[in-house]
Amino acid sequence: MDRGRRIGSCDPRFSEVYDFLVDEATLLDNNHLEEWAQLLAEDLVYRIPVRRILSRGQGPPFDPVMAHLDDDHAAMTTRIRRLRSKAAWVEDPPSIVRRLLTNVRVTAAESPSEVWVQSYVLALRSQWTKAQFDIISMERQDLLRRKADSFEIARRTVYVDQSSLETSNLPLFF
Amino acid sequence: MTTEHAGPSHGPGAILPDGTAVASLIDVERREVSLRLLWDPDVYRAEQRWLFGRCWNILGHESELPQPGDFVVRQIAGDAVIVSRDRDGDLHVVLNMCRHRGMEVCRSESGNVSSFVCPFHGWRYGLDGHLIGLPYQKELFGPECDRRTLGLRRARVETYAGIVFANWDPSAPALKDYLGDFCWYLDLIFNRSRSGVECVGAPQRWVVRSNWKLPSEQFIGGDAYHFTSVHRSLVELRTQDGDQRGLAEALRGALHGMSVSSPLGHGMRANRRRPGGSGILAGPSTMEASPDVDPRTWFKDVPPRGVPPELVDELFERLTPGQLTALVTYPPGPGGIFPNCGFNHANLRVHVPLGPDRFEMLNFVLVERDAPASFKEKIRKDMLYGFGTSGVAEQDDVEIWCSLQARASGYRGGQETVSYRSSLEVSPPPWWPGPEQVRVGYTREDAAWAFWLRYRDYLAGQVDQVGQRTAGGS
Repeated sequence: MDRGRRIGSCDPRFSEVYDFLVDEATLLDNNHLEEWAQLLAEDLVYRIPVRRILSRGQGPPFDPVMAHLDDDHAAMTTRIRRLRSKAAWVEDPPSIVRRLLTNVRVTAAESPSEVWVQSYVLALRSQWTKAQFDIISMERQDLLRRKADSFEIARRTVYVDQSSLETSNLPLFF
Repeated sequence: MTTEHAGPSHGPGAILPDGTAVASLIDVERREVSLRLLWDPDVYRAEQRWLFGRCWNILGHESELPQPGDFVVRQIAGDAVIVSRDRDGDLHVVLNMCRHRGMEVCRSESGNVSSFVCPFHGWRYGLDGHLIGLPYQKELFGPECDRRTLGLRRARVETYAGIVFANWDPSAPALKDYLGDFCWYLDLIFNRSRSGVECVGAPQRWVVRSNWKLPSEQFIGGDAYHFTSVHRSLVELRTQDGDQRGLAEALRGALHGMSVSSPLGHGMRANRRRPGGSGILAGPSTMEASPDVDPRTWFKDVPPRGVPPELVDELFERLTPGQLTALVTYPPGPGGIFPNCGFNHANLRVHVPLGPDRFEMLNFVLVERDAPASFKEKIRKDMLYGFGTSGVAEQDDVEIWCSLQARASGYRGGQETVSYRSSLEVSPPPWWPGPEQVRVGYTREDAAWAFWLRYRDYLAGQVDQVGQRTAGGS
């Protein structure tokens, strides 16, 4: 990380970012996808690259091209429209997801209107009457941009902690 | 239809602990399959020996291993194997297990090495699996110890269009005979240009809580029927976006087409292109795709999916006139290679069994190697959007497999049977140039049933060295 100067937790800008992330997670956890989509920038790049388990010195752990999801704004909003259609079986009934958000680090970006944000998310997914939860553990790296009195998400990369995901499909956003 | 498969058996094949023959769980007369095949751990054990121990298993693509020393670790029904390229450029597949005490000799999933060293006692193996280093050999094992007999367990390796297959069975047919005439169709997707296809990055992998046969049968069966319900949301979106045909017509269009099935268990679906579109699967066209159309003219208007305009000329070098006609009239749709591979255009996947009720999806995106970078990028994005972990089509497919698996695991549900009775006569168009059993019309369950018959052959031990049925084959 450390793309620029650290913005510590005592800095008021940190609180603004933190509140934004918590509000955002709340929208997603409550399945308010249309409202969440309002937070996405027009030039959004949202990626979940594929992790590889490599020996030390054998290259970066994330594949540079292959991803579990790689969307722009148009693709993301179409995904949401589809999930709202009558026959999107995967989320009907909807998964119950809890996004536990922690380890937030904020650093300055090149543009004064933007900040880089690293956060850890532990997503617990409960689906229909299944006894067990799917656990999706990840680090996120976001580029947030000032918009009015809040932010919009210009870039989000989700670095998952498994090379083979233990969830049967991924209709969720993080 | 059924008599051709009901010949005498050469033996009982796989028998479960309660005396049931696995093959008997497929009722050939009634075209029914017992759901016991989905949940029973003993069936899975039988499949490991009788099926995955004898068939050709897809492990990856050659382009994942461009350099000497490159390797990937993959699985064949519970066994980890190393696929590697040696100094001479040859591919090898070996069991990832030290011949000394059974430890893994490779613990990462890909990379580049000069040898594999077992962490337990330091035995060292070359890229071809031969034992090349045995620490304290003289002192511990004596001078007569022959390292040549202590290599890693090897599988046979062959490739088709760069796709790497491995087989544990020394008496199994060659890959060419295993794929048989179905290559005529596979060539239309994977073997149609000078440089062929390459793999985009590392495959997606994720674990699905269902039996591996549910997706496999569906791909091989080219199940267009499910499209009208499972993927209805995609058609709804298109209708909202101004597709004037309306929902009912679009759904109906998806149902009508061609199914191809091989007696060797492979299968595919194809939809005909018609003006105004013959359904979401084939896409719209401005011309009637008749066999009289000149392919050169046609491909100018509608290049085959995955082929950039720059590579269209190469189609005419690589494919026969008959294959070109097929590519114009009924371009390939979803299909599968027996037993556990599915494909859909640039997307190739293996449903790797992890037990009776779990499999790992190993999902590759394959693109034309010589296509412009921007074209490859578009294919990659399209595929990730539609298929794979987060694919808007695949999300709903997975839901069906998991829900069905959960119910098949019940006591009463697990004894039920499911049927494949919807059948159509073999009916290729009179001008159809391709091999295999070809049926044209509304989608039926014949190709899926062909999967089960081939599965039955293997579990009954009725597969001989040329890969044909040993008894009652057609």
